[in-house]
Amino acid sequence: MNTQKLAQTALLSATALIFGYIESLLPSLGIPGIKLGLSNIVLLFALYKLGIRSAFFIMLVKVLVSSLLFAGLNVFFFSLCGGVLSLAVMILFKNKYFSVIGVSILGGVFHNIGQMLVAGFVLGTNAFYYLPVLLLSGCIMGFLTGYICSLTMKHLK
Amino acid sequence: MKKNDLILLISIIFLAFFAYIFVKVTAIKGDTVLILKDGEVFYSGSVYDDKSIDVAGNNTVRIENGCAYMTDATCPDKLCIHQGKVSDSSKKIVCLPNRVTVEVTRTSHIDKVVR
Repeated sequence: MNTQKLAQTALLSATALIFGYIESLLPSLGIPGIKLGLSNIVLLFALYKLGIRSAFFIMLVKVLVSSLLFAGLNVFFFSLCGGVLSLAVMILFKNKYFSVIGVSILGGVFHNIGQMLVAGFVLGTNAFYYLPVLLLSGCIMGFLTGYICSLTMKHLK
Repeated sequence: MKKNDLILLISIIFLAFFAYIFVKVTAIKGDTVLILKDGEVFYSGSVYDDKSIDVAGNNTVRIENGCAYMTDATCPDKLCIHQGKVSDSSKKIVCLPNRVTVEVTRTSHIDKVVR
């Protein structure tokens, strides 16, 4: 990775962390698993502008630092699984069939699905009853973050 | 490519809707309260047996009037306390940090639910 890309990746990693921090300040909706996914805006931007490796790095940094700093080891594991699945799907569909918004929706939905699967595994029961909520929130949040990212990309180079 | 995005959005909303209907329709009115801690059965008893249960010193579950709910927890977010009451298999109360699950099901279904 050239120096400029490296620097930009580092910068975006910090940005993603800040977004995550802001998100943690917002009052919780009371329903577990519903999150704004603001950091995804940064992740998507990096995926489209810097490439897969950068995006992967930012995701790792975000998951590692924000969960270990603001939550705990348990949350880290959940976040990681959701993040990896979400990013994998986004990479898969980047520039195929969907615009940024569609990719973001997929990312949001699969992030939640990933977490649901892990939660079910860890808790020893299944969390299928939660699927409607997770699908809906992943979808709506994905749409919003994707839209914001598309606006950002339009105005930045 | 914006059209595909819209198709995706609507499809997922439909999926969510159908999943919701499915869960509600297949919900079993339960007679047994099952509390899982770290994936293992911690407590299993009648839902009509009113009592308060201390789960490994971290959570308190209250069974009352055929429902079960969380009254106290040591987790930082306390989401489990606000998750309401369970009386059938359409939802569960989950305390993720403490790995506690509270569900109401039928005794005959327990072998399928637990690992």
